[in-house]
Amino acid sequence: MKTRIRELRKARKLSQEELADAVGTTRQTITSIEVGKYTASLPLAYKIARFFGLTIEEVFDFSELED
Amino acid sequence: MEQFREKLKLENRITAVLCVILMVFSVLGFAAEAGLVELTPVTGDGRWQSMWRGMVSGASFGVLVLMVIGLIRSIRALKDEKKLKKLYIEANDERQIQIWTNARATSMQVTLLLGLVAGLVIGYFHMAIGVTILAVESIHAFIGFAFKIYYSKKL
Repeated sequence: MKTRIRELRKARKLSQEELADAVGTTRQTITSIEVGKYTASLPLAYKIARFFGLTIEEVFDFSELED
Repeated sequence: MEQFREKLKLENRITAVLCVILMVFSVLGFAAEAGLVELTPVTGDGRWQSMWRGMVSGASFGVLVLMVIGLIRSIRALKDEKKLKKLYIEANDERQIQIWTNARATSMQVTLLLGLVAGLVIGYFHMAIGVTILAVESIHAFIGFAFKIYYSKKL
């Protein structure tokens, strides 16, 4: 699943480690989510979206599900 | 986080007990090899017993070292909030949990299949071994199926 996490993270000058610490996961999980290899669970997706002050739909791209 | 702290303390106690048991195994094994202790009666020339004892002692010692390292890491984490949080995240990381779940499910299928094939092939040469392997694999499959039913009802 495509996400805007990398773009949002870089705009806030955050490292993957810092974002991982903030949302309670590991750097490797953030890396996997950013490259689209791993799909975050609903609780983690919510934590990430909330961290950026956005909704889940604004962070995660659900268009492939609609196809 | 408090629940994790209590769980870690309990795990540390269990690990400490296991370390003591493994240390006893290792020491007994090495002492027996050095001729200081007479353990099991020797059959034949005792070569295979000696090899088995050496293997168990060595493996026990290796596992003991790993467990002591893990125990020290846990004890240090309990004294440091930052390390405890890191340990908590590592233990509860959803991606790691999914990786382990998938790995265990796949390994169960693979070992079941390989065991079945091994049991059938070896049965041609040595029936008792073949039947034993097939019995073990049957129990393996039954337990796997039982857990599948359990989790189907639970989730």
